[in-house]
Amino acid sequence: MRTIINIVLITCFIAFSDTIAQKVSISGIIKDKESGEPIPFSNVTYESENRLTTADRYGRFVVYANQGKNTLSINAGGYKGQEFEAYAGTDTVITVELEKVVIQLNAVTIKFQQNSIINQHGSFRLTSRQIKELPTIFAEPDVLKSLQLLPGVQAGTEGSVGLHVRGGSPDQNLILLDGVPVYNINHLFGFFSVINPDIISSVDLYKNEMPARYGGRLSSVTDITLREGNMRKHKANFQIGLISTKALIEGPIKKDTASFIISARRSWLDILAGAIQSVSPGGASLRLGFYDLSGKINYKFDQKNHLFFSTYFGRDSFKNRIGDDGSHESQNRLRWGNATGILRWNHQFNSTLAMNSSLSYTNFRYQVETRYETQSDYYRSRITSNIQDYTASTSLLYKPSHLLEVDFGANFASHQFNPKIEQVKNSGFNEQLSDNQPRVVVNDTKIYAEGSLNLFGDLNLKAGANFNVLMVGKKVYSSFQPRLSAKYSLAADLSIYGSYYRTVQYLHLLSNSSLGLPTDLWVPVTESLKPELADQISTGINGFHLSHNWSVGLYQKQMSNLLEYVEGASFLNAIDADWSEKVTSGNGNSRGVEVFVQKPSGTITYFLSYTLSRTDRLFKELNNGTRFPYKYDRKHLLNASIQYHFSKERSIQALFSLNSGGYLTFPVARTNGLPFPATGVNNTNFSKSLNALSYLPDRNNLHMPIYHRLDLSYRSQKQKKHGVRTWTFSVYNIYNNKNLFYIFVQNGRLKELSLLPIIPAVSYEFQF
Amino acid sequence: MNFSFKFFVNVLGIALLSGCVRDTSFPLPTYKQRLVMLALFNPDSIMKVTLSKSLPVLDASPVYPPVTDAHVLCYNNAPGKALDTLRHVGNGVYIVKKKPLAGHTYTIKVQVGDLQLSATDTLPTSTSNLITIGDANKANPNQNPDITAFYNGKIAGNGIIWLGALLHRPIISKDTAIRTEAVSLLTYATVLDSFNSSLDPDYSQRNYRFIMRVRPEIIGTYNIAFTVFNSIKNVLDQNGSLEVFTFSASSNYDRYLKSSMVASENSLNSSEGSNLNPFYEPSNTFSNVQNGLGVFGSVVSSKRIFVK
Repeated sequence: MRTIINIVLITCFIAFSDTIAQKVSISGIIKDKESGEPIPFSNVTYESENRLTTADRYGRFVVYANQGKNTLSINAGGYKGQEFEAYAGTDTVITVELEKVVIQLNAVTIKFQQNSIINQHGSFRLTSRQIKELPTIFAEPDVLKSLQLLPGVQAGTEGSVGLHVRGGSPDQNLILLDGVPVYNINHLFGFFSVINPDIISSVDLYKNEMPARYGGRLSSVTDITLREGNMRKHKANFQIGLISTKALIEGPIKKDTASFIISARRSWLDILAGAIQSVSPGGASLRLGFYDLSGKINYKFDQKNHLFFSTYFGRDSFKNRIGDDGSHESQNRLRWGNATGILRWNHQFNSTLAMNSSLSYTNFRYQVETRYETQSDYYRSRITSNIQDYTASTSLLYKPSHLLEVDFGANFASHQFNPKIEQVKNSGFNEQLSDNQPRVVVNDTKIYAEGSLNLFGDLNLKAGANFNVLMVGKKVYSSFQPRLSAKYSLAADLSIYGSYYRTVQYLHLLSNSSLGLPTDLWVPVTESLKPELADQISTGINGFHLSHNWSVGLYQKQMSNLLEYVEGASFLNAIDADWSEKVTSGNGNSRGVEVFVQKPSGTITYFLSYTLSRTDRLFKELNNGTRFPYKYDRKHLLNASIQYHFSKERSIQALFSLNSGGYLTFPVARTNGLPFPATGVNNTNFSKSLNALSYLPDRNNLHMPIYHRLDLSYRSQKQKKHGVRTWTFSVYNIYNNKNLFYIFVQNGRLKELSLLPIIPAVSYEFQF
Repeated sequence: MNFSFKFFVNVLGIALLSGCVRDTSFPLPTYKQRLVMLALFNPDSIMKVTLSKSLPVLDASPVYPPVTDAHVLCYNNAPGKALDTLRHVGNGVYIVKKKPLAGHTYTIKVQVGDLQLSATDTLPTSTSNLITIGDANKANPNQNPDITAFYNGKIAGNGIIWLGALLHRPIISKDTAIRTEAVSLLTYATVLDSFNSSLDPDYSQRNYRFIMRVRPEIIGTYNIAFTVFNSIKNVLDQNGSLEVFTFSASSNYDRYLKSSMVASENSLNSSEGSNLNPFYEPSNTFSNVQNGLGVFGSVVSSKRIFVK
């Protein structure tokens, strides 16, 4: 006990020693000079002590300096760095405005982290511009596909947006859009993500350390911050590509006080298909399309109070209609989408204490509908799954000195799961409606606190915890989730780090398809199925040498209470049956080495990410209780991207991906079966299938071949009379490698399916 | 499976498969031939064991190689009961002219060269049952009658009840004189395992594909009312027949039957090669044969009613 008291006293002494030494605070906000928007996560260096601090996502920073003349330098990716002298007699508040640069061709003045997408704790941050410069399928920039190029992250299935982080499944990633969780990230069955990159300010991926303010998922957090909109000028841009058209409008409501930004995107293939089908003979039609809308408004009451409201609404639709002669019509429809909204209040008590409070709502809904109508009869069947979260949260950031930072807060979320089956039947006079699925409410309360302590100038320690109480039915689950991380600077541009976290996940996504189907089912913990749990330790070294940022990391993650479908069960079998009877729980293990090298500036920029890993699963009820490889266990993952800037306006970029294959369960033999004990059955197709039974010696017994492809893109920007136009030409899989999607047996022959061949694409964008 | 969902899966499946499908010589996991033992004991029939060899998954041969040189023994595990040697009667079939007894436990041991296969099963005891067929009911599809199966006093551990119906339709053909249809069954019964069913949108009842399994924990006296989707009258008018059957399966046969039906549903290709399900998760069929594949199971009290 005495030791603990001593540690607390020493910590307090160190933390407040600045105050004793007559330090003053220089705080403020860093903004874009042209738009007046805050620049998140800029680096602020206090040159007298060569001390680096980072602004928060709202551009706010605080530096503790000596009284008198001080030199600060401020740098942010994509902006011209600024160095200035500030005379501080007392606590001072300043506003810094940085000028955007199209491209930094000269790398001489670059410092560690500037333009780098990896920080010294091994977390990643991407900007909208970095995402839009990567070559993508159909020239459609995609946030989540950009993250799939980072070490430790992979797509799972080619072309899909699902994230598999360090051996975890896609549901183990918390994806936050301006702080609100998004349940379904897929447009067009997983080929595109629901997040439009145009409206994004930054994307943060945490997989090494997990800050205590986050929780509820095992593998990673992707925190997407939306832009606030231009505070000074009205701007717009319009883009048309092969799949969709996009538009964005932003501008001030009141100059430097309030602004808005609205972005809309719509696929147009369904419109084209509809036009073709309307002039073609026959009454059948097939449509597949999506749209989404994002927006944000903010109002700055004064220097201390700032209010934000942001929202997202997106829908996908798949519809098939058959109506031959006007006497009847049959229609099948699948619709799904998310809706989110958040009202956030930022309040700055003083230069050391800031508060963020928010009320938010998120909803994910899918609907499978069948309609049949004749002149006399009508019926409609509709299966709906609806998840709604109502959340209230508040967090406070206390920074009494440059040595100590404390982040603490509380959060309450009510998750409501509302599956529904409705049937309406009308045969002239008779109508019936049934609704037989129970609604499940899960209440989740969380408090957290995390302290970050800088010691001896070289050591940064972070310690925190997240305490959760979750109620489902009469069952109460509680969990204590500690978070620890440390970073030690060996030299000015060389540091080592280590971290440990425990996370608990109360929601599961039941899926045994590799595509992002909306019918993959989100389910809560139940009174009998325990929450998933993960413990991860990781360590690494990173540095900046010869204009290159580099990082090498190791991790080991153990997961328990993971859910899988029992053998033979799937979402296809008994779709309306109780899901909890179709699942079993077990453990997982993943360990690996991750390497990342980036040259962030200059005429030629590039990055290389490589992962060597091994992931397996152990379930008592699967594979005879023995360990088996995870379906997406790829030993080697390599992504390399290089960009050459011909000038400030024109660039070409290549992206090469090379991965080990994943795993499939594949039969090696077939056997005959027992005859069925009923007369005549043995003449049926059912009986034939019982006489050709597959034998699968092990789960995931087939190692798929190596996957590789090369993508190219060329971007050309030109200043026109009324704005800037950008052409993007891209070619996906330029040498048309037929990567194996899966294999199957047909009529005694082994067939393979490859999904995405060479795909050229073009898009046009105009900003004004 | 819900119709619209099935439709959606099929459309997506066809779209995917039309992407780029080609023959491949991709190396499959190593194949090792396994011996397959199949035996379904029934107190009404003599004891019979079939032995064969597995085939590689790409082997198109319709015939599984029979094992003709095995030494097959069958034990009744009850004290004082004799050991029987089964003799080979051709095509891998071994018999002994004795009928197994309900409620008794048997072990089969097979010696083929150095390899010994073995399996044990307990025959269930019979459960009293009665099946009745009512008059035409306008509320049912095709005005089919209600069919009710009564089970009287089933006790725990005496087998798992299966129940189903088939339509036998006479046709003139080179191959067969009777075509059997595995019909859809509609029921409100709550004692059934839903694994092979879906909720029928038109009738608000569960729709089973020709056979229903009673959940093993259901004991005591209960009845199951159901009807058939396909037109019975139409079949009877063509001089066909309706067959309603029920049997009690041993635990091993029950697991085998259920898992084989699930495996069939989850295969990428049905036997006709038309089930293009890109989301398939193949699964094994249950086996209780040590050192081999196949199953040793048993059924009793297989009741059949034919309506002509």
